[in-house]
Amino acid sequence: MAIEVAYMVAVAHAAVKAQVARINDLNVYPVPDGDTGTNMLLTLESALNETSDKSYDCPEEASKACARAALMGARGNSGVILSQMIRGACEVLADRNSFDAETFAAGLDGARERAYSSVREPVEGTMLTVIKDAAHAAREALERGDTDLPSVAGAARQAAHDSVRRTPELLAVLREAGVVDAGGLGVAVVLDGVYACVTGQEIEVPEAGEDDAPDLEAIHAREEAWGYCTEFLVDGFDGDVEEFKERVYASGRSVLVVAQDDVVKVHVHTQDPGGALSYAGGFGRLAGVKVDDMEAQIRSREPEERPATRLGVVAASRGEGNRALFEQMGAVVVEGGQGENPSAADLARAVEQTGAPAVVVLPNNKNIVPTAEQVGGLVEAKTHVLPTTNIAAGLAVMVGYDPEGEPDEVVEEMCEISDSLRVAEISRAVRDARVGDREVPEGSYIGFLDGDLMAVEDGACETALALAKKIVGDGADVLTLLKGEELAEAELDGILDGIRDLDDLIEVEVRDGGQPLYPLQMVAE
Amino acid sequence: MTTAIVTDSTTSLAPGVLERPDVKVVPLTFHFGEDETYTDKADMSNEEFYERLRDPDVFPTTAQPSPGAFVEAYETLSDYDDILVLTLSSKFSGTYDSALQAAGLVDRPVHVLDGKSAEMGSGLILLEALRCIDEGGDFDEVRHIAKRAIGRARVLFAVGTLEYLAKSGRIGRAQRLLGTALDVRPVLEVAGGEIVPFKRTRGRRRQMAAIAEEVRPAAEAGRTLYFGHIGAPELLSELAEQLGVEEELIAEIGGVVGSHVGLGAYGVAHL
Repeated sequence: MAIEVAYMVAVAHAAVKAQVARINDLNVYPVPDGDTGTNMLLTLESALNETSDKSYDCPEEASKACARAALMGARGNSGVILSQMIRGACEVLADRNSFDAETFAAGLDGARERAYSSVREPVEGTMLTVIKDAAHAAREALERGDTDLPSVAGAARQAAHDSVRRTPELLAVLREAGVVDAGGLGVAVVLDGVYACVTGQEIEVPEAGEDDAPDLEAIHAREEAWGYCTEFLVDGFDGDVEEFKERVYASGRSVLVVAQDDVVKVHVHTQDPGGALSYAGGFGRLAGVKVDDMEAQIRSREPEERPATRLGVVAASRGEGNRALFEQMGAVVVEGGQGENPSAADLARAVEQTGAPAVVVLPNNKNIVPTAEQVGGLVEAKTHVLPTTNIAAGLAVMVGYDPEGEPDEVVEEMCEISDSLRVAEISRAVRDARVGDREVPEGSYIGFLDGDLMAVEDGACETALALAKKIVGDGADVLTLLKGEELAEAELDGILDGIRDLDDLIEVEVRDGGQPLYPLQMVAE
Repeated sequence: MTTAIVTDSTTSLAPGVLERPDVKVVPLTFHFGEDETYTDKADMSNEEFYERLRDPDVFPTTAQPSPGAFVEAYETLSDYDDILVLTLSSKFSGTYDSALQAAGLVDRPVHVLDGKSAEMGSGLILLEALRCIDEGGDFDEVRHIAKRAIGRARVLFAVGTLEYLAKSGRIGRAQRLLGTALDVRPVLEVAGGEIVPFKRTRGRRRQMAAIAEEVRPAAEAGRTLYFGHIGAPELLSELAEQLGVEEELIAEIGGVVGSHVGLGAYGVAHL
């Protein structure tokens, strides 16, 4: 016995080692504490180190040492559960003096029991389900009168792999990722090792992609919510089970047919539940019939699945880059700005498009503010106009937006940001003018800070730096620059260098907004 | 009646705590790639760890202690009548499960508490429990005090980037802060054992101001503050100054928590 334990650990270890990369690849999401395959391998390695080259006085001692070593080396949830399976199996083996089919089945049962009780809230579609199905298959084989150890081990191993393929049906995260459960595959691989051990065969290494490809149709059926989920029992089954299975398999998707003695349990997704039932009725008495319209179920579930947008945002904006930035942050964009103001109807349509009961409107231009204020009378939604005077300011305000937050709080947060901004932009004079005591020649670059004319220069760079100097002097933390379509890259570089010379601590962020008429818009926070 | 406390290495330890015979610390580990494994706060200096984190492409991973490691800790405390275990939040790690499983493997009662926090938050909870022990409290009192502290502990922290938390799968409800087209400096909170968004700010100063504003009432009430950072001591001094307090307790956050929040993170805990 003692020797068998050591040998079995060694082959299980070898089997997992050969498949560790494949198991690791199945990790759906960054599971806390690492990779499933590695964790399971480390657990087995610890047991291997303990049991190899050692002799024990009795099976009990060998089993105890092996269980403890597995536990000591257990890493991650999958490793811990595996160590509990080993512990459960070892507890059974400790009392036995021979390793036969019955011992094997009892060992799997012990493994299953320990594994389930080690987890506070057992989740199906994981390694727990796989050990349960394997243990069940071994027990079933025994009860069929099969006393041949290789044959019972083979049945368990086969059931484990079948179970692995079904894990996505039980666990939504696997379904969404389109993979089978990594830990479950690990259990099946361990059983491959045990099977190889009892048959004296080499461990078969299945082609990658053969076993770990989930039963896509079943997953698909779930996702599409196809047909009727039909479940029933056929009691006193009289007929050819294999033939029956085949017909049922052909009739739908997500098919499970489990036969035990003269009872056959069926689970199938089909468009014709009546047909399936009358066919099955020819083989015995039907019981426990349950038919659910999956499509209707999904339909009724859909509205609550989508988190409701409690607050929407409509932003007036120009330039492809700016549109993309606003949309990325969740706003509905209305094309329009300087020289091309949107109508109140345009804005109202956009407000309705958000589908939200409350909507923030960002005019992003002082000429659009009055129009935006008319929108409230045109729509059902409650509108809040935040009088942002340029696009950069609108983007800065978007940082406070949270579609799922308490609307009043979010609006307040956005207002607070809006109130704290310094807003600047550069434009070009279209004719000679005189503003206050300043001469503004046609074609010169004019810079505004918070709506006041602050600089008149020959170049964009000089104007931008004159504004930046004022902003930096008053104290600012972050400066966001939106490059317009008329600003050359070289000019932008010159502006950035100039700002760094003014203050090397200020955080500067540049985005290619692509707005016309304003070579540069800035917002300081 | 004597009580000993077992905690894990992600609990920040105030000066003198590590030397106490009635405290045992079970380490987690962190890994750079497959071959390099380090014991939290032991195998690698914080300076070296912070230096390695500077590489923007490096994302270390972490592992919980095995149940066996907890069994060993429980066994070394055989001189004590009772053992209370305080672990980091079960939403961040399987450490709590390991400790619980280990409790089922020893022949004596061991009481495991999910600390629902980490680092400075856990550090304050531990200090409360130890204070109760030192004042002669019996096991039930110690456990009651620890539970109450767990319910009250609050950690506010600033991260330079959400990337580490997002990659490690521990971002929790702060997921909502991702996906903005402009760079933001988020302020996060550990509450109810998970990370929740507190505020999305722009710029370092506002980020710090948001923390200071929230913690000020606790500071003004004279409650103990536990500061912590990952390679950002100067930011902590600035924060303490804004709060008008001395930094009495400062944690250099270790490799395990550091792997998940990234370089430049800092924060403060209070009860």
